[in-house]
Amino acid sequence: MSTPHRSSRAALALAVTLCACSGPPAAGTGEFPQDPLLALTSESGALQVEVRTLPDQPPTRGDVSMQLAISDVQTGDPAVGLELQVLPWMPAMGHGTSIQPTLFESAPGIYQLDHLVLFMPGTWQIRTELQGAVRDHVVPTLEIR
Amino acid sequence: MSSRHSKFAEALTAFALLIGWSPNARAQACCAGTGAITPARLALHESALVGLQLKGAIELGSFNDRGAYQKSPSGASELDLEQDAFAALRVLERGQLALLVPLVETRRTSHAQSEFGGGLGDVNLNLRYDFTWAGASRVIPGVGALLGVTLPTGKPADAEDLRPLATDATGIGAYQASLGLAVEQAYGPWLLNVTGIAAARTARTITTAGITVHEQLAPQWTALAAVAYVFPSEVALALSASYATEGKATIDSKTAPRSGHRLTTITCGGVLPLSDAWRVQGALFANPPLSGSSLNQTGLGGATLTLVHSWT
Repeated sequence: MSTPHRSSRAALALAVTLCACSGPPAAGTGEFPQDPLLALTSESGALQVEVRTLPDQPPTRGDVSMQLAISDVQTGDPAVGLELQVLPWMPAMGHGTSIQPTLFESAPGIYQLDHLVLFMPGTWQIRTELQGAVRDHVVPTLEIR
Repeated sequence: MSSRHSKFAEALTAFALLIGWSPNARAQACCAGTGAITPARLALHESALVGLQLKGAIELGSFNDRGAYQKSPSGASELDLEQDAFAALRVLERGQLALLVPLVETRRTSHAQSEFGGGLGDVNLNLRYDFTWAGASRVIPGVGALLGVTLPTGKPADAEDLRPLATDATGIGAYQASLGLAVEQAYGPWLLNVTGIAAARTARTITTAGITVHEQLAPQWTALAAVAYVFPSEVALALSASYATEGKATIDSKTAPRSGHRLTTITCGGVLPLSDAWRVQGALFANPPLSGSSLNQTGLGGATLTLVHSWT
């Protein structure tokens, strides 16, 4: 991979990180369902992550918005002010996407990803790094039709 | 060359063409490279050929990571188009070298989005060496070794400058090497073939948005069986079935759950000699929409049309 390529990817990473800390850009339309699609525990076991999707839940292929409601497993308190880095990946195909989702904290502990473009059917991992008061990792896995 | 021998040679060519397009190429271009078999196989009496193959396929549905078949949701569709320019040259009495250059286009529709894109795909180079020829002996079948290399000349689906639905993804983003063994025999007008191919890809390391993924896909194993019948007019018909399987991938040194593959493909087709130098071939193919027959794959149905010019 060339140096310019790395630079541009680093810029994208920075942009995603900054989005997680600043005000919301254009949000996905509609309201997320009340019941989560998935409820996961982060790799360290310290965080509970509930996953909801729009416009469909479960999601179908195309432009998807995803909400991650992150809280402390022990106290139930929302995990506020985290920096999230997200990489959509198809493990069976060995590739990701060219479009980086936008990301913002829509409410305390509630993180919203927009423009998650899952363009083909199959299993997609949403590989997510969490940084802030904790440093953790979670991988919601979506089956896309 | 006797008439019978000529017919046999044509039949072998027909056979090669009818079964010949790599099973991998039945999958989407962004997710499977070409393999050790191409349409560019020389008949016994030929020294070189060039050709053009047109392919069109539509998505019928998909097979999830448990092998369950599901139809595409309303409003979602995919059309795959491909134009392959190919050439083959006899470099040894028993050895032939072939080159295939694909152009790949995709049209995807999802919800309100619709997109069309394409470009140069992954270029494939392959070598075939026939230790023995089918029909030369009643006892010993034709045995050929196949060696293929696919170069990452196309754009992988996670390249930076793609359209949102990645319709201009045209390659796998990795080198692929394939090694195969083909066994075939002629019984009068009938030709039978069994081919086995092993393929491996180089690992990919992608860093995006501060996250690095290092993925090594498992080796892929393909078995292919085919039967062809050659009419006195030298028109030939063939039916083939292929089954490809691939173990789970490894991501960051850990086995990735739900990442294995299976793909079953049925192909039927025919070849029509237009003259001593020209022949045309057509085929229909599909991944049967039966749960369990494929895994982690898009199910396609489509057709190919191939025109070949050869020199003796």
